[in-house]
Amino acid sequence: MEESKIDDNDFLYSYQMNHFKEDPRDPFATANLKRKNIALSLAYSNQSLDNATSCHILHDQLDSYFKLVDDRNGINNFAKATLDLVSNVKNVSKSWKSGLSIDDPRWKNPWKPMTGICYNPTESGHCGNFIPPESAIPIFLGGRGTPRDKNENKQPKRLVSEYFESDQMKKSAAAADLSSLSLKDNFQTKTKTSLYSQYHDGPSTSAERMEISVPLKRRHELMSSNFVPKKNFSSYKESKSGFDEETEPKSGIYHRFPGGKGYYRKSKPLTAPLRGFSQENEDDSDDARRVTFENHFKTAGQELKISNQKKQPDNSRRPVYDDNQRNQYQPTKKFLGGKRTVSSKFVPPVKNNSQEEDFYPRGSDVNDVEQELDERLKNIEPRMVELIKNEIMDTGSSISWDDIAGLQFAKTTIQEIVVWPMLRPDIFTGLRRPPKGILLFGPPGTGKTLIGKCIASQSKSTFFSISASSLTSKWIGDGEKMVRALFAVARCEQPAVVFIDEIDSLLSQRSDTEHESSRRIKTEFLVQLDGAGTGEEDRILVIGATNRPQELDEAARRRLVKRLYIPLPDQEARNQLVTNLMKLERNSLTPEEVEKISTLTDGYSGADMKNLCQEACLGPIRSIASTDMFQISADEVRPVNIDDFMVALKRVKSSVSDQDLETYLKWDQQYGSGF
Amino acid sequence: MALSASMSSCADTVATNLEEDDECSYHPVSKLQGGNISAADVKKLSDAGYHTVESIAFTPKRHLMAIKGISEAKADKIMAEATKFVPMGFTTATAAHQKRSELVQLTTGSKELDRLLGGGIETGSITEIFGEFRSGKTQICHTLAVTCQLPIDDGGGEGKCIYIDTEGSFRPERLIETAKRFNMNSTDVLDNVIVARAFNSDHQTQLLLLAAALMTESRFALLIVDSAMALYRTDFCGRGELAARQSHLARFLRLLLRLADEFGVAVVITNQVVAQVDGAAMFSADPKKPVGGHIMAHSSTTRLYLRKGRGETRICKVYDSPCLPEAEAMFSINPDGIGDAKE
Repeated sequence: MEESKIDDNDFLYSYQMNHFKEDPRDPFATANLKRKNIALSLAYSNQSLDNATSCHILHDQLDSYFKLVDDRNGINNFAKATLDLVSNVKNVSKSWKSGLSIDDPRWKNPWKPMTGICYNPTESGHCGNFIPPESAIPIFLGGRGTPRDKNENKQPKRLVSEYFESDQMKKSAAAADLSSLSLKDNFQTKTKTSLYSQYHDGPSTSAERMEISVPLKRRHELMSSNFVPKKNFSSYKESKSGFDEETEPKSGIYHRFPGGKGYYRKSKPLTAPLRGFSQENEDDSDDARRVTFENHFKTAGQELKISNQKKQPDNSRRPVYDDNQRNQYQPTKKFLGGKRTVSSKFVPPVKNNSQEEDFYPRGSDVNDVEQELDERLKNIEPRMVELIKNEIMDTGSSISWDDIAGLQFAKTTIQEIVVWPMLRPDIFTGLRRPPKGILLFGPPGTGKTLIGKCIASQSKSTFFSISASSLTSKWIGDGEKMVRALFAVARCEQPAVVFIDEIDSLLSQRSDTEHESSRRIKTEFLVQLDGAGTGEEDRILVIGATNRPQELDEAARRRLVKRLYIPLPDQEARNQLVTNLMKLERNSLTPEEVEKISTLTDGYSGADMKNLCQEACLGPIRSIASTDMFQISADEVRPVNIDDFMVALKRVKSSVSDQDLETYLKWDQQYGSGF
Repeated sequence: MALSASMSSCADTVATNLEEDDECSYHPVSKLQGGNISAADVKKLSDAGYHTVESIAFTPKRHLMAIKGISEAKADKIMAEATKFVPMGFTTATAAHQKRSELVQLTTGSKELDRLLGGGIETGSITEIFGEFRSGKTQICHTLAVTCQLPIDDGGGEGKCIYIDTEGSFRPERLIETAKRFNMNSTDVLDNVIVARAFNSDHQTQLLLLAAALMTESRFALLIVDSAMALYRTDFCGRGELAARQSHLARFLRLLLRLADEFGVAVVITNQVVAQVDGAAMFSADPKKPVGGHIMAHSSTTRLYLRKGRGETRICKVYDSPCLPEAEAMFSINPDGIGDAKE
């Protein structure tokens, strides 16, 4: 054979051209180029060398070529092209509907026995007698009974009979939630008669038939897609296998109705209610949930304690852990952590110079006190503590001392008792200690409750606003326990002010005819106010307001040290009242007119004054013709003037009579702290 | 000392901030109440694990419908209410840039490492730290649990830390020593770290749901999962369960990302490595890759690779980050936490 001699330079040129054209991104082209190079090298080497040597030289090139061609991610991957093709193809088989209608006569004999020998005789005859219940239809229609097993060798495909008895079927039947039309009518026969299902047979006698119901139009599809007449159910595997590609269950799905409601997934999404490890509690209160937290989470401090305990087991002390992981026995030097648990707020770990640096730097009073507080509250039912804590008043509108007109003596006394001891606790110690109880009494409508509200907003103490309703309960013994809880919480939240409105309902004279429970509440009150258990250093102030001081029990009288008479406003006070009230309303009152009004309203209480002003302010409104009421704007209403007040004076009379005042004055002289 | 002065001033500000509560980055779910949505619905939502309005706005509607007692109409109403609170539309890059400049970054204790990370561990995103054994992952986690409590001016996050421990490697003693280094009160530091031990992969996810509830109650700055993959490697064995493992893992990581978005905490997960025994990587120096496959790779925002240097030094390399260049830094593990390597 005559081969053209390949020149050296030519060979090098061609070889290098091919070599550098290799593009790693295109394996096919690279393979081509490699082949060319191999052929070229073979031809070239064959010119001068023998075959064996040239093969040896070509070894590397061949290696790289084989590697390229065998690359499963590159050339050796035949699936890619197929997958590309397939992905463009629409799977239309799913939406296929049969051309058969319901009335087609072929439905009449859906099941027929297969000829042959029966290997599974049962008492009711041979296999042919076995009629599948309608619950089997989904299997025939392509939903697989069980989730697909990864190793299908291990578990054989479940037979229909096994599937019927399984619980999954029942559950999925329950979950199916389909409409009520059932196939029951189609699939029942009595055992003796013909084994074929008939449409028009009566209801089933067997109690075991499960009633899965499939809507009528769905049934059409169900039956149609997999339905092959003239086949026995025992050949279900054949009928089933023909429809695998249509009814591909994904792993984890064990039931599907084609065209039905959708997949019933085995795994719930992550939003399942979190219950820790206890599944029973459906209505969790916050407390229970907190316990669940603390079952799982601990603070690092608790973790350290536990690990220390594990390292040094001490036989003499048996650490007992309750739910809060608190040691009943304290180890020698270490002090237990405070009440900070998993759910506590973030505490910035700012280092104080006063604290000693220890593993658990204690030594400050705060935590001792905190321990004590907890212990004090420990004996009281948490429910009650919760109730009490809800009574702590968040001040709605803040009231200043200037909003109260008149009552100079009362105001100064109260400031002395409440405000100054907080400013200068060092001065107000010993005998100067502020009293524990104040009684405000007087005719109704003179500002006693207003003073209470003012104290609430002005003093920087925790304010408890208590009435009889918060302390009584239908259980016997609960009333006094509430009183105890109230004072315990007040003690924990020092300094505290407890304001009891209409205190005469709670603390009236103890007599033998009253109910036992009210008696008990009273006595508990008296004990807590000033009894054996109360300490001298507790900064709790009880303020009572009443209209009937004469009905107060004498023990309560003695405990409410300062008894202040809140009188009707005098002229100056009434002046100020009117001015304050009319400040908000447009008016044309001169100071002389205000003087006149206050002179004329002698004997009016503060509430009466307010009523008067309200009545007077309605005057301009009454003078508007009723037809204009809709169109008139707020600015056009004329300002209030003295005539309105005159008219109002006729309508609003004082609500306190002089005889009532007599009683107060007498009581005040006897028991009050006024002058 | 300036540090303690700033810390005590910060204590006051933190206290007032907690009272005011208008600087919160999330809205509690009780805000949805009123109008169409009753208190019972709100309770059902919070029982199902949705404690903030953000979590409701971020979940697809069918997850809401899966809650018992919430119908589709109700879910529509709830979603409509929730989207009123949460901005889920477009903003300009200027706004986004400004938002990022206010981002808190947690210092790791070593200045070199902080410089590598551009300031520290970012809050609001997931940082994955992987490396073989003894490379310092758990030590970084312990140090971060302490530094997250520092005031923001000092490089901390002013918040508590949740530590989910799967390998039993949590040591509170390390926290105490690190606290002393930063001049902090040890008890408070220990009380601000909430630790739980996870025993299997389902429990791990459950703990995360509990953590979401905890996060609404006080201020958290950091969530550590050490390590995220340890339980998955043993609970799911073999190729056959690989798909189940990856889907479970994907849900877990999605939940972590949701927590980072809602509450703005920094999420740090540690990961293990697997050796590559097939011949493909025989010639490279370090034939290990992190566990978890692509699911883990794509879920974590920043990935850091640790390896051991000489003595107590360790080398950290940025493996994947949206904004940091690929670089290395050396730090060392000292008795009081992570620190700079002494040359």
